[in-house]
Amino acid sequence: MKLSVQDCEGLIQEAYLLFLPQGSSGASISADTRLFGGDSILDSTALVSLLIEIEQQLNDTHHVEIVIADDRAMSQKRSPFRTIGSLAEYLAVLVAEKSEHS
Amino acid sequence: MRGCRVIGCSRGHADWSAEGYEHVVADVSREKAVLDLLTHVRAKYGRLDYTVNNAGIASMNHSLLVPATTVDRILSVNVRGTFLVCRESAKLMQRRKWGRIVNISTIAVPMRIEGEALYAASKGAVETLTRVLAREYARFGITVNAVGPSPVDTGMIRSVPKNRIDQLLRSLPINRMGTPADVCNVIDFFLRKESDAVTGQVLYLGGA
Repeated sequence: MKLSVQDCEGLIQEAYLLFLPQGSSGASISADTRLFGGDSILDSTALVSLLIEIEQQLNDTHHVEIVIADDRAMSQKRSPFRTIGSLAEYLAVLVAEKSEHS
Repeated sequence: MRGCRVIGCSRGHADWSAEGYEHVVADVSREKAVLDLLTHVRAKYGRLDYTVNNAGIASMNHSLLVPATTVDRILSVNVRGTFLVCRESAKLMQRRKWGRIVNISTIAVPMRIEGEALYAASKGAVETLTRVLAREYARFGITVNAVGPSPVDTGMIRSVPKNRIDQLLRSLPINRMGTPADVCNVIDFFLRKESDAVTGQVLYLGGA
């Protein structure tokens, strides 16, 4: 199982819509959309729930079992959780590695 | 709590069965095993209402005679295992914004029982986890509490000399052995839907 960065981005965008605050529009979601810090509109609880939702979607639809917030993610100088795009890139790597090891 | 479907786990196969009980072989100290366990629960049942973290090991010995490997083993099961099961349970529970987690501690924590340094320290960590996770999970509608039983006649204390148990019981206000029913009573209280304002609590049995 391999997922492209674009596949991952689509999956993240879909999940992201579930956690938008009431009244927010999902019209301008892109790879550059901030997930935390800067002009992110997600609070910390929504970000945690978003990451869990992505893990569960990956498991449900692609049968891939991963923990997104792993040691590597948490120790990177530039967090992969900055934007939808950076998370998509990280996710694609995790899924590819998981497939190699299974 | 009656009428629940129960999924239990241990490192080996169960040599018994019961209606409504499903056994899964899983070592809770291994992250992959815990992920597999909760993936199974999610795939098969779609939800998780209650988690009771009762996997635990002990090594009753003077601390000067405890090898480092025993330290690692106790911390691995009691602390790492409890954390992993809490984390993965909460991920599933938060979907429905409801859940109850009960961790098992021990009166060895407040009583500072000699010969149980590592066991008590690991359960002290479980109590701190309980209190912090209670705060973190409250926003997801999940409560986290712990019960600290007095000595219960299980395999865990079978190697402890009787005079040590008697001595411990004499120092408790309720100086009889604990029973599974005593522990269930407290767990039931934490699991009740009416207990949604009870979180981050550690309740000791026997008056410790």
